[in-house]
Amino acid sequence: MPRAAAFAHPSDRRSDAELVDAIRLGDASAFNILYDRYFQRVYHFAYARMRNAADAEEAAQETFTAVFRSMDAYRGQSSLLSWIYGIAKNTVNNQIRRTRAQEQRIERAQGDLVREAGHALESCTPEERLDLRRCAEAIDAALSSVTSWQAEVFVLRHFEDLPIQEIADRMQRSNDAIRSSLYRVKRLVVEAVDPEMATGEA
Amino acid sequence: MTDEAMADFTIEELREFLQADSLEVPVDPAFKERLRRKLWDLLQEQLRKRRGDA
Repeated sequence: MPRAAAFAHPSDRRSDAELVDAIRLGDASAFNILYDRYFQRVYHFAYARMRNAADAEEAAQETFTAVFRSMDAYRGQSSLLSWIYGIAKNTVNNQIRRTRAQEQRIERAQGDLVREAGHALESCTPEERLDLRRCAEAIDAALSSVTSWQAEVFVLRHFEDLPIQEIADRMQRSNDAIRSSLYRVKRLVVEAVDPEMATGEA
Repeated sequence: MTDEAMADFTIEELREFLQADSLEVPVDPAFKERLRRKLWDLLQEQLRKRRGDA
């Protein structure tokens, strides 16, 4: 794997088109130069729209993956700059739409959680009420602290009872990524509710 | 959107994109390098497939 410091050089003045041609032939230095030339633009553009590092990283990853995956199909009808910008803009807009939809689902699920906890509290002892309240608060805090797609995964699994495979299909992520995300949220909940148990698990 | 013909934006938007170079937003260097490796692997895989097809 090429490293930026070893290959990319700021004085390299090759045009975008020349870099694309070289990348198609497997030129690592051309790849590094093009990546360094556009990384900041794509990442900062995404960050400016979404104001969140995790979402900007996701958008940057999706944009660059689309760019390099389809580089063979790029014919130079538009400048590389406008081509990449078009992909970045589309990716960010789609992600913002997805995030809004996910936030609405999460808000609904959190509302359900509060209502269910309210019903459960009616038939509980004071100690049980305290435990339930702590759990509800821990889940609420955990969902607020992870990325929107991770919160969505938790809601789909634990509030809508969807199987892992269906969640993976719906979220267009691997089963492992879904399991890993669920584990992360659960761990945050356990750490909040019972720090000793969380330490014991580690 | 990867179709070149589908590019749909204004000069102002493109300028905003270019101006991102001067913004000071902290980037996690580990993320940048991780993504670099992933993309390079992706390119290598595509190159291998193309050579295999030839």
